Amino acid sequence: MTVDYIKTLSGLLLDSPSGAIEKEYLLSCHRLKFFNTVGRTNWEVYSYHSPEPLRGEEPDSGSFVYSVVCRRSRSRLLILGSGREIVPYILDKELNQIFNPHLRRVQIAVDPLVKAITMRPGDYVLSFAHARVPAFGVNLRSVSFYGDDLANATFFKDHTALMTFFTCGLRQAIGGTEIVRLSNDGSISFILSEDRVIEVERVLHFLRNEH
Amino acid sequence: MKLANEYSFLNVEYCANGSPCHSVSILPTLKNVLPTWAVSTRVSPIFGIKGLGTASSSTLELRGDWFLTFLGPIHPERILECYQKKWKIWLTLGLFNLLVLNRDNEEKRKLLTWARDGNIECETWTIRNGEVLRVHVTNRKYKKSVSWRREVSKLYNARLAPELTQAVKDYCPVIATALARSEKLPEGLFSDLSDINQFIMDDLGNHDQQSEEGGPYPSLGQLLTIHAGLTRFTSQTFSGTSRIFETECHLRGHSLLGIGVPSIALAHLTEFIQSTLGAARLPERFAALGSVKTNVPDLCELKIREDFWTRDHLGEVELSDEGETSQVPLLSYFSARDGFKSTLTTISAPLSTISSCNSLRWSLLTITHELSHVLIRSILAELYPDLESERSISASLELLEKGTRGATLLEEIQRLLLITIVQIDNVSANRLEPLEIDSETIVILLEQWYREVQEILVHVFDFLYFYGGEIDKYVEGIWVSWGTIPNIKNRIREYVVRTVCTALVNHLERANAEEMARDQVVRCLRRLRKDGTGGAYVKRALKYVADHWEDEILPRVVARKDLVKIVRAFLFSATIATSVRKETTGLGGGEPSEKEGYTLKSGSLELKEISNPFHFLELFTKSKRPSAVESAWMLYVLAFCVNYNDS
Repeated sequence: MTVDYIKTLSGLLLDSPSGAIEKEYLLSCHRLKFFNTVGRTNWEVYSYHSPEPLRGEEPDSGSFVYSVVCRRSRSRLLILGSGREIVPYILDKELNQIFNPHLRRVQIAVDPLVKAITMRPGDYVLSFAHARVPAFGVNLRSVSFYGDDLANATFFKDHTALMTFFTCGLRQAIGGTEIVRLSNDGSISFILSEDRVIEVERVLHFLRNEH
Repeated sequence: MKLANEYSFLNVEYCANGSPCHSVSILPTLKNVLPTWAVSTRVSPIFGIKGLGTASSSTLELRGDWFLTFLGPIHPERILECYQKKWKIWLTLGLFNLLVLNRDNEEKRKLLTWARDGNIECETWTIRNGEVLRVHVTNRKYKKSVSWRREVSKLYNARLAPELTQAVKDYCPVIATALARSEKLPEGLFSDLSDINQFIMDDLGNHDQQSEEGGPYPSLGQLLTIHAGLTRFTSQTFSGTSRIFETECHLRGHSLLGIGVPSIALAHLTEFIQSTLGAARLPERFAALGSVKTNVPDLCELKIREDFWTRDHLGEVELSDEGETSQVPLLSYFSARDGFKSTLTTISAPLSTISSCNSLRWSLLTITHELSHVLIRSILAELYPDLESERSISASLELLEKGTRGATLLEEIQRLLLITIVQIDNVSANRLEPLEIDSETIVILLEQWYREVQEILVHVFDFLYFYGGEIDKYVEGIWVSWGTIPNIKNRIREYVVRTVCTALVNHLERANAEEMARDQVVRCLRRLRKDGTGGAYVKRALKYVADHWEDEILPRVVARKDLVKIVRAFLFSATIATSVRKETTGLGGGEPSEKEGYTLKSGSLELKEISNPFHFLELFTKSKRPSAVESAWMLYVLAFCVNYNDS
C-alpha cells in the first residue's frame, strides 16, 4: 500500500441541502480515514482507500490509497484530492450514498468575478482566464489568456463583453505565484502548503462576501 | 434522482357500480385501458423513478387502503427532503408533477406537513380497494389580487366598437380563468398572462377603432388570435389542478393531469428570448440607423471585404430609456394542427414534441425559426416600405432612381433591399430587359416578394443567432423537421435556395462563395441521406442541386445575396448574440468536453441550474428515435432548472 504524495490539489466545492456537514458524516464512509490537519488550520487530511486505481496505476498493484484534503464550513464542503479524477469518484461512489439529498456543486460565479476584477482592480489580479466566445458559434469557440495581470492589458479589457469566463486563476496584486484556480462548476485547484490553504480560505471568503 | 426507462398510465373513471365515486388504477400501457374505455375515463402518463419503487411499469390495482398525493409544481428532487423508504413516487407532466403513493396515515401526515411548510399545493385521495373515498386539498397560500379582477371587469363593461364587443365579452372569462388559476402558482406564468392582458387593454384603450385605418379589425384580429391561444393554453396547462376530478384536459392522452410541465418549459423558451433578444430592442436599434448620416457608403458598390460590413452596427447604437416601448408578450401553447407557428402575439409548438422532443425530428430548437419570424417582422416594419402609404411608395421609387443614395444608413439599407427585390423578380421572370418601375409595379413587386424576403432574413438570422453559424446542425435541423411535414415536395426548390443562401453567410468574403455554400449544403444533405434521417425530400433536394444548379439555383442565390449581407451586417450583433448564446452555469473547467462541460446527465434530475435553455436543447437533442421518457426529462429540465435571471 502506498499513499500518494500530495502537491497539486484539485477538487470541488460542495453544498449539502440538508444542512451542516459533520466530520462523522465523512467518517461514516468506511474507506475514508482521518489522518491529521494541515498545520494548525481547520483543513483536514484523510486517506481514501479506493477499491480500484484512479490515477492510471496498474490494477494489480495492491490497494490504492489517496490523500484527500477537506475544509468543512457549515453546509459547505471543499474536498480536494491529488488528481482531478479522485474527488468526482469519491462523490459518486461514497458521498452520494451517505448524503440524501446528494451534495451539490456550488456554482462559482467566475464570469462576474472576472468582469468585476477587470472593471474595478483590487487585492487580487487575474493570472489565467478561460472563456467561451458564444457570439461566433463554432467559428470561434473559446479563448485562454495567461499573464501576470490580465486586466491591465487593454486587449483583454476591450473584449471581455464578448466572452463568458468559466475558469480563472487568481494571484495577489502585490505579486507572488497563482493562489488558486476556480471554475464555474465548483472545481477548485491549488498547490498545497500551510500558508497556501490560509490564502485560499481568504480568497473564498472574499468571493462569498464581494461577489 | 433517475428517471426509469418505462412509464405507466394513471387511469380514473366513475365506478362501474353506479356509485358517485371514482375508481383509480395504474396500468402499464394505454392498451390496457382502451378495451374498457368509458365515458368518464381519464388518463395521464406517469413516469417511474429508479430507486423510488416505480422503476418498472406494471398493473397496480390499489387493493386495500392507500393514500395517493399529487403535489406541485416543484422540482422532483425536493421530495427527497421528506421521502420514506416504502413510498412509491412518479413524475407526471401536469402542474401536479409529483405523485406519492403510501399506505400509512402517519407517513401521509408527514408528507402533508412538509408540503404545507414549503407552501406546496397538494391533493390527497384516500383510496380503498381502488375506489377514491375522500379528496383532501392543501391549498397553497398566495395573495389574491384585486387589481386584475377590476381591470377585466372594466374591460368587459367598456364601450367599444360593435365589432369588438362580443369578442371582448368572450375574451374576458378566458383571461379571468387563466389569471385566477395561475395566480396561485409559484411565479412566472401569472406575470406572463398579466402582460398579455395589459397588452390587450392597451391595444383596445389606446386606439379609436372607428376612425383608424382598417377600423376595429386589426384589434379584433389580435384579440381573436390571443383568445384562441389562451383557450388552448388554459385547457392544457391548468387541467388536472385541484380539484382534479373537476378540471379535465381536452388532450385525451393527458385528460387527467394536463400538460403543465411542457407548458412551463415552452414558456421558459419564449421568456428567454424576450429577456435577451427582446430586451436588446432590435427593432429600435435598427430604426436608430436612420439617425446615422455621416460616412454612409454606397452599399451597392461597397466591396464585401471593407470593414464597414463587419462592424457591429446594432451594438454601437446607444438607446435611451426614454420612449422605450414595452415588448409585445408572446403566449405559447401546443397545437397538433398549427405545429410550429408564430403570430405577433402567439407561438405554438407541435403536440408531438411533448413525447418526442428528444429527437432531431421533433426538436424544440425549431421554435427559434418562429421566434426569428416574430423579430424579423418587427424589423421589417422599419425596413420594408409601407404599401398603404403613398409617401413611403414614392420614397421607394426615388431610392430606385439611378444615381440616388440614401440620406441615412437606414435609407441606404432600404435602397439595397429594393434593388435586391427588383433583381429577384428579374431572375424569377427570366427578364433580360430591366423592368420599368412605377408606383403600380413597385407595389406589386413589394407585395409579391415580401414573404420570400422575410424567409431569407429569418433563415440567416436564425442561423447566426441560434445555431452559431454551424451549418451541419442547421441543415440537419431544418431538413429533418421539414421531413415531418407532408406534401411539401413542391416547395423543395425554394427550400434549397434558402438553405444555400443561409450557408452563404459564412463564405461572403470568398471569390467562389456560392459554390462553397452549395458544396457545404450538399455535403450535409448527403450525410442525412446516408444516415436515413432526411427522408424523401433530401433525396429530391440533392437531385435538384445536381440537375439545376447553373440554370435555376445559382441565379436565384446571387439575386438574394444582398439580403444575406444585410442580415450579417445590420441585423446581427456580436454583443447581442453573446447574451443569446452564452451559458454561465454548469460549465466545467478545462477544455470543452462532451456536452461542453455540462454536468447534466440525460435522465437524471438534479437541482442544477442552467441559464440558457437553447444551449441545453442544442446539446441534448441528439436522438434519432423519439422517446417519451427522454423527452419528459428534457421538459423537466426546461421547466424546473432554467434560471436566466442570474446570468
